[in-house]
Amino acid sequence: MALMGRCGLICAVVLAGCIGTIGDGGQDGATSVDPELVPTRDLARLTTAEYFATVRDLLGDESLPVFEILPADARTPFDNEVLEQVASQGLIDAADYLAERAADQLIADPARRDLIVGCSPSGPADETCLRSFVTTFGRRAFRRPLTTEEIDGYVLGPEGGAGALGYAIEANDFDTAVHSVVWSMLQDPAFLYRVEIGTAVDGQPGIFKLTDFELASRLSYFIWGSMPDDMLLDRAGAGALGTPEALHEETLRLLSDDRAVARIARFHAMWLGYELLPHTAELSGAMKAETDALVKRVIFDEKLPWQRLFTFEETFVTDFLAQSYGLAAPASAAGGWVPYASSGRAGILSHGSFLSIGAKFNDTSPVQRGLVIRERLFCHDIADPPPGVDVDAPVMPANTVCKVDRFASHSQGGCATCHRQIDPLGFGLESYDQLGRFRTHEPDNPDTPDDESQCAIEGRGEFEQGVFQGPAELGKLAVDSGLVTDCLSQQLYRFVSGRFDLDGVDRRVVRAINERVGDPSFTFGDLVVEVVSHQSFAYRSTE
Amino acid sequence: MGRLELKRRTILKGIGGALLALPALEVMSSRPAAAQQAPRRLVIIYGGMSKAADGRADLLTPDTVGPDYDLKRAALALGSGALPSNPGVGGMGYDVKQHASIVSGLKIPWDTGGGIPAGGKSPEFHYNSIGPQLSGVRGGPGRQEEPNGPTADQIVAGQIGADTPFPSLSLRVQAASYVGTNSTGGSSARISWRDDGNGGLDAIDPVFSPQLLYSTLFSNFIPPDPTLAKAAELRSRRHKSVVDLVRRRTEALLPSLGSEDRARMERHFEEIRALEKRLAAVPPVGGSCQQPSDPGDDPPLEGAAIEYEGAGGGGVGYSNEELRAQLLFDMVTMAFACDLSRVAAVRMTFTQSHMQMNDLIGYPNDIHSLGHNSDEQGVADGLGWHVKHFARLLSLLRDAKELDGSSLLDHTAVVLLLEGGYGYDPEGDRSDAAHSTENMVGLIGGHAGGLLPNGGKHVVLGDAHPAQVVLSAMNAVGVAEDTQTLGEVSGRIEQLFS
Repeated sequence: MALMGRCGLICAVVLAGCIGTIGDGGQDGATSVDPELVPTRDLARLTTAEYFATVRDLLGDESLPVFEILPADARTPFDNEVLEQVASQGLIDAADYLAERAADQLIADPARRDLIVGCSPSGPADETCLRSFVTTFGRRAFRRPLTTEEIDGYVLGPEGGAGALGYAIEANDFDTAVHSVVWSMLQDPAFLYRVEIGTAVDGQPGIFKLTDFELASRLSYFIWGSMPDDMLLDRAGAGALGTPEALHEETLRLLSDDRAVARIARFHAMWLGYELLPHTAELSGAMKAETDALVKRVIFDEKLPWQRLFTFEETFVTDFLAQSYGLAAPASAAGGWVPYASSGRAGILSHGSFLSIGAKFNDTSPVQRGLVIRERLFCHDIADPPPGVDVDAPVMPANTVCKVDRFASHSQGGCATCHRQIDPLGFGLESYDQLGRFRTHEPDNPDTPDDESQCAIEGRGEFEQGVFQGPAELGKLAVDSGLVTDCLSQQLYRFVSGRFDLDGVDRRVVRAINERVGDPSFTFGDLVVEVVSHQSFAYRSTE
Repeated sequence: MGRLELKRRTILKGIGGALLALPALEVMSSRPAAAQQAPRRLVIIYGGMSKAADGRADLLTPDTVGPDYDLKRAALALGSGALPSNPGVGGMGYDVKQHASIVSGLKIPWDTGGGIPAGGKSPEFHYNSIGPQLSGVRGGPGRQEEPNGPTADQIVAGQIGADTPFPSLSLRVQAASYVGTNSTGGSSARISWRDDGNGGLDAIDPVFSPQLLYSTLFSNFIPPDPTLAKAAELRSRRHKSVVDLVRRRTEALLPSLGSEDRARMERHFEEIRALEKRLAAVPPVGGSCQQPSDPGDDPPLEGAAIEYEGAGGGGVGYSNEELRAQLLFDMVTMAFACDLSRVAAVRMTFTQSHMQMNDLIGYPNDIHSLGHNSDEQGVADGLGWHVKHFARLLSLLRDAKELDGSSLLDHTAVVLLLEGGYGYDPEGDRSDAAHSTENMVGLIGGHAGGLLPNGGKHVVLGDAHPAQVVLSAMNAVGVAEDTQTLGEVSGRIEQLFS
């Protein structure tokens, strides 16, 4: 699958002009890198998900209990916030344990072991085969070639230490050496972290150009959430990533891989908050499949403008989910696309996955929905509630029954400043419950003596872009206003950089990428290409 | 799993032979535990619950003051009678009432307009009561959860744990954050913070995997079978070589990094060095020290909800936290018996936890909803599950023996603290709230350093700080006896020593 992004379409003739800033200043020592557009990058550790994917691609092992052992990553909303990554005893022990277990599982699987080792040892003392393994496996594990000194360190041991070869001879077993190498490499900082050092740019103190191998890792972890494949490493090794054209080509190649589909689906899930859903396994699975299918269809299968995620007229449902929503059954019980028609639904905001967000006390929370739309979808900053406001308790003022009346207290006094930005957005989705089902009246709350089921839901929302009724109209307003497309660039940049709080340079870079991507009807592939081709992707500055 | 369910792969009788099989250098490096006085140990347990639900009765605090205190539903595990017949709390009590005291009448003060008071917190709840309790230092503004001072377990670890392979064990029972507005991991999952030496704090991620804890604590034991011992000894040497190489390579990487990255990598490096030291240690043997059997793979992480239409009904994930709790506390006990560690901090549940309690209380609900939306028995059984593991740990320690034949519990202090109490909530301006740090309760057990010399009792105080319970435990293990201070909180609870 070749994903031809907007830049690819438009810039076929003027490719260098479109993405020409990548190599400026780096290829020939010229000093044309704009320091105002070179952000700092913190040393990023592989997230739990990246660790899992990397071991899968490195060793062909998907059975390592990574999520059960490694400390969980905090969500901000993404899982790769560098400042949240703590190197404590739990991490070190987990890395040691998983590395040994990965080595155990490799040795226990001769076919996989032979594939990974890549040579047939003549005996326990076959140093040539061991060096070959350390060289090839080390390059893949560390995403860069090993120096001779490093290879010696693994084979013969560091000065005063013991190496893998000696242990293999002692145990009379070549596998012992392979095991030791895997055990060691998988807990090495060169594996656990994405080390980016680069080379200093002449005449520009504090500016460093990533090496081709560092650039290859940055690219593959952005698009795949995993290590570079052999082809990408080979191209890095050949110096073939140094031109804008080559990097563009690699970007498109990586985007055409299924790993990109999973990675981009996960980006959307973390961003919009439906990575984990509070339902039964069957319902959560069906909702997640619905949204992942839309992301795949719009971004990868049909390469439609990304904003179509919010206006798409069909949805992918199983019989079970269609029944839950009250939609027509799909052609296949296992799942299929059905039209929304005039149901008032359209796009991702109609999905149960999104509408589940922030549900509290067995009902929707207009505040939480509104907050997610403001902060996550529009990238607006909403102040924290002031001290003295219990955000955890149900809104239950005396002498009120219906939700709209209960929440009226939010429009008074100091609460109004923030809540009038939030609540009207949430109330515009009130006709859809926390499972995404259409409703006309509130559910009865068994914990109150009142009958809330008598309360009709108007479902009318409002914000500065207009009045809306339900997710289809909200999605259209969000798209037409450009709010979601502008915010996407910012959120994607956060995801790429592993940093939620953006500084002045970061914001300039986001603005520059937005300007370069231009027309809001860009495809997601266009945006990825623009992010990768911007000089900020190939350089770093010191803090 | 019954009590003290460590399925011991017995090496106790053969351990002498195993030690003889070790290289002389390692034997010489083993600590002469038999010659030492039994060390003191500390366990701090923290639960993300308040002692009662909004507007509901308190089924934890006894009515009776003094030694013959009554056991309400949430505290029944301290006694010897039958427990509520819920899945996670059923069976019989652990008969440890004589070893445990309940301290009530505790309070974390809050900012009433003049700034956050010493040892106090901002008016917000859920996020920030852990810091003042465990560090004794006033919290930060708003919803800051991270404490502003090192936690007691780390202070104690620096003084009584430094000579052990694991100066402290930071653990968590709840396996995952599941779904919740604050249950996003990060600080809400932690229980330990230590002084970083530069005026700041290092957060410590807790271990939540019994399998990982087993591997790190007990994988260095040498089995008695000669063939297995030889393989284990080779593995042990290879392990040291592996970590030695990682340590050297990490050190070599440091100079090439910028200052901020280098600071982060230096912490990584220090942790590798600590691992290297742990690998060099050989556990002493004797008493109840034995290698437990490998617990095997952890229970799977489960994040799905349960179909339920009744009242409450919240709760998303449950990854067999009951089994996890048993295994983790089993291993804490054995780590103490083997003097692998002397300090443990165990976070049972997250702040605002959305862990599904169906298997523990008998119907679907999560811990958070129990505090706001439940019957009295439901919240009592949720609390009771926390108390059960406090009681069970006391019983494990009571039954485990030191080299001199005395009970480990005689040299240990165990504290259980809860996120909240019951009373006035400045955030919601109501007087019957679970979101209150008034009327808090702390449980403390064990007899280290003269603690509870005449058995357990119910001690009622007048708005003492819960960190004073922690400070009392610290004193019991010989820490802060001169300063009588934890952070900004002073004064141990003398009734616990009389």
